[in-house]
Amino acid sequence: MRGKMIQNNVLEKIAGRLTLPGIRRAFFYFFLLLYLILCPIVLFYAFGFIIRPQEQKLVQTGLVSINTYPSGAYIYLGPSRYVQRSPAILSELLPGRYDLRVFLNQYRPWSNSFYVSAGKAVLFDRILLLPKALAPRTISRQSFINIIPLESASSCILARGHTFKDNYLFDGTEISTDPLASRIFLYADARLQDVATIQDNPLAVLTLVLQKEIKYLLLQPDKDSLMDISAIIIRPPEKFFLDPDDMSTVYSLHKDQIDMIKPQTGALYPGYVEHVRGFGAKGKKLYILSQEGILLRMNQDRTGPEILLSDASVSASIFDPKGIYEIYPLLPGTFVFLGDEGQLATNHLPHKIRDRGCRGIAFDGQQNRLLFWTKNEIDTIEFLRNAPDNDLFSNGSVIQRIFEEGRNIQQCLWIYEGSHILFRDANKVFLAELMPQGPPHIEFLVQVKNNTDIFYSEDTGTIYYLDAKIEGLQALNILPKNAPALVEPPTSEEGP
Amino acid sequence: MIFAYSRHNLDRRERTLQRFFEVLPGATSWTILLGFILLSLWEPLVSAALIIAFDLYWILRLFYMNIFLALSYARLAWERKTDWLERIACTRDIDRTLSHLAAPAPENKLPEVISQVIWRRELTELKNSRQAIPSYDDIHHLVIMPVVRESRNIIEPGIKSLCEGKFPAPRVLVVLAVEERSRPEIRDAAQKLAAEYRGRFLDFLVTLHPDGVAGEARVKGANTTFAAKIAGEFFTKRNIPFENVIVSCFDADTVVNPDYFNCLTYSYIVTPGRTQASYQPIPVYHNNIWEAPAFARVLDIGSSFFQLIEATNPDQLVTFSSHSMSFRALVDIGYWPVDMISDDSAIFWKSYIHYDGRYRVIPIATTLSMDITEAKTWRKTLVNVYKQKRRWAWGVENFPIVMRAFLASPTIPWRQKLRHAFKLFEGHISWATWPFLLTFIGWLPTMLAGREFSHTVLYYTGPRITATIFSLASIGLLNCIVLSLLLLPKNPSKNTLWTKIGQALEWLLIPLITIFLSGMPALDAQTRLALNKRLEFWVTEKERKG
Repeated sequence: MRGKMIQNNVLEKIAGRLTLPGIRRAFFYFFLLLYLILCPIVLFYAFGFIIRPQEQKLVQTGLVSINTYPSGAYIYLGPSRYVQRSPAILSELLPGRYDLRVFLNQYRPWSNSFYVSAGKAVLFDRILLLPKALAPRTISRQSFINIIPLESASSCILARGHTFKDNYLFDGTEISTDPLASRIFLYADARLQDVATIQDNPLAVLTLVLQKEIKYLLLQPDKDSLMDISAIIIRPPEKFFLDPDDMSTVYSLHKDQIDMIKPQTGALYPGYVEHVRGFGAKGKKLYILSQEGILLRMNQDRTGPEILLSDASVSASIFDPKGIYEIYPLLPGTFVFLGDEGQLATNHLPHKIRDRGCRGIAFDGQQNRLLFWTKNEIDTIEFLRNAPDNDLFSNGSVIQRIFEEGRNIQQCLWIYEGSHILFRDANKVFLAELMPQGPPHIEFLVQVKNNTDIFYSEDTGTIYYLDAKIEGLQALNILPKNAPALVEPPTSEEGP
Repeated sequence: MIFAYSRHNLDRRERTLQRFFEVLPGATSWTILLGFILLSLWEPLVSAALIIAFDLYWILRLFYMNIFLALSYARLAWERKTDWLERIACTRDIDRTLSHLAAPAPENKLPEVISQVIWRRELTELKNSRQAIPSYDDIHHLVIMPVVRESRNIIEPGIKSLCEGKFPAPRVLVVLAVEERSRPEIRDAAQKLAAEYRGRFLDFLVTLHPDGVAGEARVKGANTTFAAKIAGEFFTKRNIPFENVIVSCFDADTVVNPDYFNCLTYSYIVTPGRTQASYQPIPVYHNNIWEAPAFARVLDIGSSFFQLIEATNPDQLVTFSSHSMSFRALVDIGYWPVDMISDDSAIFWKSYIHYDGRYRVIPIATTLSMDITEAKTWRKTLVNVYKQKRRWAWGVENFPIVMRAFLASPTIPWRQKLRHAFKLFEGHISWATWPFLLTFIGWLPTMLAGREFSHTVLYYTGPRITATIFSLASIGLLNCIVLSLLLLPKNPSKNTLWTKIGQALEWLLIPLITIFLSGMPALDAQTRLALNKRLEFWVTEKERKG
């Protein structure tokens, strides 16, 4: 009883001295102090600062993010193996050079040397580990003479012979049972001479030769549609142009004139644009390089013309006086010009990229990069935005060499969200992995039949090709469908 | 200070000032929100760092508030058994009571010890003030309940609670303040209720506030002011001094607990300068708590929690919803503003300015219960709740008037002015911006990260730090869940373990609720005020099932 009384007296005394405003004030100052201490500590940590106990010094560190497909690979940084397996974020790395090695059973080892800067992150976010022994599958044992990939359509044409009736559509899962010619039987014995396609537009214009007569078909594989447009093409075009955002229009070039064709309505507008040296279309807008070297943009109905380049000296330094340029408006404010002799130019400095020899281009819209290749080289251009919006020809660009020892580079394409480039050099197929620092990793994949193309399906992550030795259509899965697109930063990490 | 607490009839300078302070809260909120969005696009590094600093501030403030929520709840729980009538009786001989309290009973537990300490402090303060102590028997209560479209089944439980309370009903004057524009059946119901209950109270008046009086807006304050003036005549006729009348302005659905008026009377008696104070109970929304949808329940429990926290800060407490004050003060300051929607907080500011800062709000350790906004359908309830919260947030209309008064007043100390102005401003800004910053904008630097930012350490550490802070916030949430389970009345139909788990899980709706039913209505109200698109008084629709 006495003890209880003393306890209550003590409680009374404590409670008697405490007032609610007093308690509030005490807690307020406590939390204020806590904030003033914690906030800089947390912010310093967030920016990568740590205290090195040995030196009693505050140093800013960097980190490396590693994500492999497949995941679960062992990670070595220098001589130390990390407890974590991929995907992993290794933080608190002092600035300096590191050797990173990644191992996974049954897969080819992967390594890279990189430099960590203070406060910076180095990302190896899409490391594709290739099996030690690649295991291609045979899709069809039938004999094919070529594969004709169709841009932006998840399909290709498989050719069993040289006539149109020998061409079959293949969508990555099954080969159509009926040949393409079964839809327009009259042209069964025609020879498929050319296929015109463009990135981001599933349409393809097929040029056939039937007893010295030229026929034109419009193929839309995703809608399983094949339309004869020969009747509305009144003069043999030198080139077809397509608008990536307009499925209802085809443009054809005849000398220096552009004809506009509306296949659905059967309408033809001959000489729709005249005296052109270059032409392109995007978003139902026409891009025209005039004979005088003036670059114009106008609506499809030819209203609202807008001059993009009128400076004759700049124009002369970019464009050759002869030949026709294909104009690719890639982004608002970024254009690429591809001449018929392989001249490559852009509106970004240094404007003229190749005098001739460019065989093709592919654009990676996610990272604003253009891939282009010549017979022996593969390069990328990263487009920068460092000039005022109204000065379209003063932005810069960064050109990076990817590969330079090619024998006869024929096909190149971005894969795995622009992290890799798949290319065919003569009859060898390679995979180039772009590195955040330093040259790319290049891995040989397969050898294909001479003079045959490859088809890559982004949907299935599979390369389809005709093998050099085995008869039939082969498939090599390099990026399964469930491969992670982005790194999910792990919630915890452990040291080595 | 004589100050017209209104935005009308201002000279040019005052009108400019008024508009400036009307625009300021909305402009600040939008600047913060848009600033963070633009900063996330242009300077993600700076934005991410600011977000971390803000998240840290928020978590510490959350913990700070949780401490006071728990303390305030404890005080409320501890005083539940207090015999207020006995405490009132003890004010007759303060010295004797104080000497008795000086020797605490050994069997007392902590709650009783603390309750007695507070009691002793109140009596000591009263004694030191040397003010006359009014007799309990002289105290009268005036209860004004404004009615527009509330039906009998909404009003009657409140009337019953008044006459069934422990305070003698014959000293309570009830006034049903009915709007002339109300439907005839509402007016008839009010008359019938008056006839039925008149005999139990000092009197039961039904006033009919005429529509379209010059200088008045269609707001609650105009109606209650009209009723209060009639009640004033009633007290004058009966020679009841206004100092002895405590006026409570209750929403029509307010149900008081039996101890309410004794607790209020005790507080009134022991408060030195009692006529220059408002008395704020804790509003709870228990009348239809089990019939309302989960989102409305969580939101209104949140409102009660906010009042519990505010009750621990009497220096800066502002009246909210149903509360009480001295009738003397109400008459002196010229009644409620007749052209403002937020009459509950406006009455405090009006009194505070009138008495040159010598006016305060006394938190009282009791609750009164109201209805959660409810409509016939779930969707309509959602709309009604949104409108109700927007009306609450329209309390920001006080900011320009208070600021003008502060600038004009030579007598209110600067320190007090700054503290009140900052709290009023910061309260509204955080109401409108925090939900967006915490749930959406805080993640923007990472979501919109360009290549440059995604190659920095901060890009990786930022979300990890934010995630850790949010995990810590779950401790605060857990505290809220536990207190809500303790505070809520039992569910009459089902009270199983699963029901309780369900109630706890309702709190997971918090992120959505805070955005759509807290941040958005507040931003809506501030934007309207800034654009001079004023709210009309919207009477909250209240439905009772069964």
